[in-house]
Amino acid sequence: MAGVQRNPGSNVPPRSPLAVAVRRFRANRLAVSALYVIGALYLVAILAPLLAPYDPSAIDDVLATRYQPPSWTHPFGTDEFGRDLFSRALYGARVSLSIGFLATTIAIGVGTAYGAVAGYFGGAVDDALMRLVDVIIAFPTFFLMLMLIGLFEADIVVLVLILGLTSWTGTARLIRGEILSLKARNFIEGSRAIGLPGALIVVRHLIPNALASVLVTAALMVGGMIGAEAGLSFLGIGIRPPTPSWGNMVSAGQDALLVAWWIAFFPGSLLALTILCFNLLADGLRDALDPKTLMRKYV
Amino acid sequence: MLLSVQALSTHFALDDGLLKAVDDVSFEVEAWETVALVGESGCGKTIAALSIINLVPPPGRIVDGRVLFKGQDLARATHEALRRVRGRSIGFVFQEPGAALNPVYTVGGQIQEVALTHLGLSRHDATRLAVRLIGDVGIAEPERRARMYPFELSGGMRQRAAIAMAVSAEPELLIADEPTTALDVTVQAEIVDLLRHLQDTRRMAILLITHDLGVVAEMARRILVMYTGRIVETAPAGALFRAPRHPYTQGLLGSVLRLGAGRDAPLGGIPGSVPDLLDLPLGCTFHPRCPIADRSCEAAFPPLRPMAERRACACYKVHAN
Amino acid sequence: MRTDRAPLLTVSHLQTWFPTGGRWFGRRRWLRAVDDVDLTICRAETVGLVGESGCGKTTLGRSILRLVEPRGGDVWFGGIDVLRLRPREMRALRRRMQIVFQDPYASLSPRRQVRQVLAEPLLLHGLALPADLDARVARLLADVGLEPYFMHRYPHEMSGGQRQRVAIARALALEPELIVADEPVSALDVSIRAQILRILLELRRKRGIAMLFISHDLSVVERVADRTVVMYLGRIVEEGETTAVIGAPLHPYMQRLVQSVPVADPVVRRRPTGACADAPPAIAATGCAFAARCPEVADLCRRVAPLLETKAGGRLVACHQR
Repeated sequence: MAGVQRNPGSNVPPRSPLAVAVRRFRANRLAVSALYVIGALYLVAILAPLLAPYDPSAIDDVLATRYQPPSWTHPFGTDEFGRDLFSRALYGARVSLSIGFLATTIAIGVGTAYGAVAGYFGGAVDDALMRLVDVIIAFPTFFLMLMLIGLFEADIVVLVLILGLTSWTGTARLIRGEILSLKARNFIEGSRAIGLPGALIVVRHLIPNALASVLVTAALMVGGMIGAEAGLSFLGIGIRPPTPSWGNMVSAGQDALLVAWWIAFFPGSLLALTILCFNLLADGLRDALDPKTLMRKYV
Repeated sequence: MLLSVQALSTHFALDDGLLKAVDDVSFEVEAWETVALVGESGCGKTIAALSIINLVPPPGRIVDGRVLFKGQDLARATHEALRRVRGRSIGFVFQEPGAALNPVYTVGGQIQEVALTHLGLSRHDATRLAVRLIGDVGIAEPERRARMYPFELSGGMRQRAAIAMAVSAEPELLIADEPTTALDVTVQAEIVDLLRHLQDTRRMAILLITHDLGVVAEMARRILVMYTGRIVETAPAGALFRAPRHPYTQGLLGSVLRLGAGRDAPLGGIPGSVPDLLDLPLGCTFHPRCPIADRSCEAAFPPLRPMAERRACACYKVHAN
Repeated sequence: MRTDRAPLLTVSHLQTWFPTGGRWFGRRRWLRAVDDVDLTICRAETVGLVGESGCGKTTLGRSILRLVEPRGGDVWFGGIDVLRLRPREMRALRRRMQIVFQDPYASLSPRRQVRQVLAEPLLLHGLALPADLDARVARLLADVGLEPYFMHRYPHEMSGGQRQRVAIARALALEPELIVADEPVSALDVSIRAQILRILLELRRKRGIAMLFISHDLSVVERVADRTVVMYLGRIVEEGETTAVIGAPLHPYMQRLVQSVPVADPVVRRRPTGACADAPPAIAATGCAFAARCPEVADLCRRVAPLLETKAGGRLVACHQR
């Protein structure tokens, strides 16, 4: 569980807060399992071309191969066009997971930089930047996304940009809050007292200490982005067939749900599993990184 | 005997090891007496206090011993029995002024709640009681203040309100955990006077947890000194200040700076620092810092040996003469 | 303790106010944390600054270092007009005045080793070559009584007293002429305080560093400070030689403060205080700030704010009744 203020002797090697956090994370079996699953999924997605038994778009003798239930040759069955769903799921993983990761990177990157600037400078700069954020948040993001997707063709790059650039505001607010509370801590004043320039204070002192929140938010956000892409693709405005994405695969399987349950079931379960794992990972990260428990004095 | 703590041990099972926050602690509190539990960081006094009312935060657990309050063992009591004792028979004051006060309810309302829960008063009577109590604890304009929220009051007033809440059900024992530490010294003096006044008028016993020896000198009749989870010395207040026996107590009292002692008076202090609680030295945990320790102190922690004048001391080098 | 009579730091009419209340509309209201304060510190002198919470002593310390910007007044350090400096010049001046904070847990970044904490000021101001760093850091640690292996430790692996020593070492790294010590021992165990106080006293003795020692604890200030300044709600109410001010205070507030200090001796009984007149201090618009709580208050006190005047023995008191 938590750490206690330690006072080890000279022969004990020092442990950085990072090392302490890693140990705590490792002790959380659920989070570690989630991490392994996520790792496996990403690995599989990267190796999809090597692992997929069939070409995901290959259409053979449609009538003979369509709607086949899961079997040894087709572990996830086949869809209405006789395409192997396992291979499609593997390629769909590439789409969903990469969009999740990349969109999150953009959102976190922009949000952190924005929030850090607002938090560090405070005053009028902070006010102005945060009012802008308020305006953006008030904007109906969904319609904005629809509009942008209508303007540009929805391929992976476009979706990544759209999702990323409409989701950074929450992170900005979070980071700004962290920075504001860190600024009041004495060690920041100490850095100013020795004459450290502002930019260095932000980079060397503020951001590493705010990193914990960033990581937790990022983990949650990847799950959220994967879900968002799936939702958009499900509605037909995200990744469009024949490019497989878990979202559009579920959509395709909707109609045949009673007849060929496997078409929607496997991609849907993979989506649920992935998002669940990211949430568990986020929980595990938060418990492991919580700075308050780094040196709580119990007695 | 109002409270009798026997061989209490409260341990925390942490990732890094077993933390024995309280280890084999025994003491007693008689009715209407003030006993002080004194010690510095890591001594276990707060956990000991929380153990009495069985409110130790997880992963802490009481692993051994008994806490007999009027004959009932609180360490093994049912949840329901504990609930009846807490607040009604034992009041608790926390360190942060008004930490017990919920910021979204008025001060009067919260004191009322205690009265309603434990005394079964009507709402009207409970309100009147709350206002009277607020006045009793020395807050001016009690009717007006009762309707205020905690953030509208100063630290000193919040602490007074918290004390009012703690004594509202007329408990027989008040446990005060560092009640004055976070307050200015002028306010501190007022709180000490208030506690003494309440004790006199209500015939309460007070278990005072603190590291401030000045406050202890003003309030306590008996003193228990703790170090790394164990009691190292007990004595009546006068005797302890006049002639401390345990080397730690001597070091501690020697470190207290007296006003008016002059610029060149010795600063005292104990060398080194409190050991890592998860890696305590073998034998007497104080021996690495002790001026009179030798090899024999490394064997086992010295037992608390009773001495004359109702004192006790846990040190191999101190003889019960 | 002989102090060089040349003043090192001169503060005059310093005002640091914080905005409170209406921002966009209506008149802005101000919290006068530091209100028209004059202060002088000579080389190698330790001045104690005492008062309770909200008196402005912490803000005064930070204002001198420009960690918080005053709105008016002057600060002269070694002949330099501190408040008019530009950022780059201020950075250079920072070498000469440093600060040690109260909370040893919050004053060090949790993610950095002691070595990095101490190296940072050295590298920033070009005081050490990267090759010499380890040696320099070890020397700084030795100055505060810590073994070299501490340089690899992280803050959470040290006790409060050890952390505070590192904080002092960091303040020393730039070889300052003035250190503002803001409650440096208040958060430490009583038995550890002596260690830190000895280090601070040594600094004055061996290196002639001047110090502004801010504390609410009179018994600590008595040991450390040559002169003592008492603040109440942003203003100085009494000032003088330490043993005199603490031993025979003149201002009613200081008298009350001294009376309230608990004595660690059960035989000595303090006089009981009156019932709580402890209203949250609303700054009086006119008159003496202490009028609401003063046992000797008179009508004049409520109307006119008293000025700091020199009395016998070089003592300064701001009170109409003295």
